[in-house]
Amino acid sequence: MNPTHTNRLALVALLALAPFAPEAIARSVVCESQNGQTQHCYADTRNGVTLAVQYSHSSCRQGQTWGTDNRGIWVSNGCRAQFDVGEYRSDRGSNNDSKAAAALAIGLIGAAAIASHHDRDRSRDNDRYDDRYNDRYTYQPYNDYGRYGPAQTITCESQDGRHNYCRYNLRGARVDIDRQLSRSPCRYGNDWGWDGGGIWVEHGCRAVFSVH
Amino acid sequence: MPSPISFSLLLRTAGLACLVAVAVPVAAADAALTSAADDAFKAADFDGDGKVTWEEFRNRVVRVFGHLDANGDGRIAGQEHPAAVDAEGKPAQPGNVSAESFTGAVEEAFKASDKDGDGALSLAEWSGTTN
Repeated sequence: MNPTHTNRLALVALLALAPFAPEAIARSVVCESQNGQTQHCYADTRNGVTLAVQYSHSSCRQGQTWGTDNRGIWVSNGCRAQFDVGEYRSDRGSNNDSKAAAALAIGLIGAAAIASHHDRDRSRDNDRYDDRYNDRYTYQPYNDYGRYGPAQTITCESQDGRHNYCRYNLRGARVDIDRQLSRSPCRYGNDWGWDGGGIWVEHGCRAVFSVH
Repeated sequence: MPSPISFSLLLRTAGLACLVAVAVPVAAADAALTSAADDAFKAADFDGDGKVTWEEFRNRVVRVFGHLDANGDGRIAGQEHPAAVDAEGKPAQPGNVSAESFTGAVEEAFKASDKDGDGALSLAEWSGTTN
C-alpha cells in the first residue's frame, strides 16, 4: 500500500467518524418559536439542557414554553433562546462592553422592578395609566418605565378544570402569561392558548395574561 | 463586573433626586420605597410562591431590554443606549451591549443578591435586608 493510498483511507475513516466526534455535537443551540408555533430543535439532552440567553420578549418558562424530550429541545409561543447542552456553558460576559452591559443591567433591573409594580397598578385600574408614583419617584436613568409594561392584561380562569374561552379581540396581538394564579400548571398549547378571538384555558389553569 | 447589588439600594438610589426635590420626610420616603419594593416583588413573583426565581426575573428584565432594542437586533447600541450610571454612580460609557453580555451581567447581579444561594430571591433578599 503506497503512502498516498494510506492517507486517503485515513481521510475516509476520519470523515466517517466525524459526525460522532465530540466536536460535531452541538454544545449550544438557538431554538426559536416563530408565529407562536411549537418548534423542535435537535440536541443531545441526555446530560441536561440549560437556557443560557433569552432573546425573545415572549416568556421562556421551562415546562410551559420550552422543554426537552429525548429528541431535543422544544419552544413555543414565541420563546427564542440559546440553550447550552450538557455541562457546556457558553461565554456571556467577556466582551469589551462588559462594563456597559453591567451599567445597563443595573439600570434595567430597577426598571424591571418598577415595571412590575406598574403592571400591577395597570391591571388593578383596568388598564388606566396610573402615574401617581411619578409625583414621588423619578427612577433615573430609566424614568419612562411605564412603556415597559404590557399594553393590556386579561384574567382568564378555568374553574373546576373546565374549558373556558375569554373572548377578546386579539388580532395582531401577542399574548403571554403575566402571572399564574393557579397551582395547576399553565402549559402553553396544553392548558391555555389563544387566537384572534380570545384566550382559552382548561385543566384548572388560571392566569393574568398580558397582551402586547 | 458589577458590584453586588441590592434591589432596595437600586430603588433608593433611583428615587433619591426626586425625593430630595419634593422634601418627603426620610422615614415616610423609606416606607414608601419599601412598599414599592414589596409590591414590585409580588408582581415579579410569577407563581406567587414567595420567591422570585432567576427564570421569573429573567423574563421581566428581558422584556425591558427588548423594548430598548428598537431595531430588534439583540443589541443595545447607539441611540438605543439610555444614559446610565455604573455601579459607582459615575456616568457610564455607552457601549454595544449584546443580549449575551447583558444576560451575564444581570445574572451576576442576581446571584449577588441571592445570599442563601437557593437560586431564588426571597422578599428579604430582594429588599436587601440580609447581610
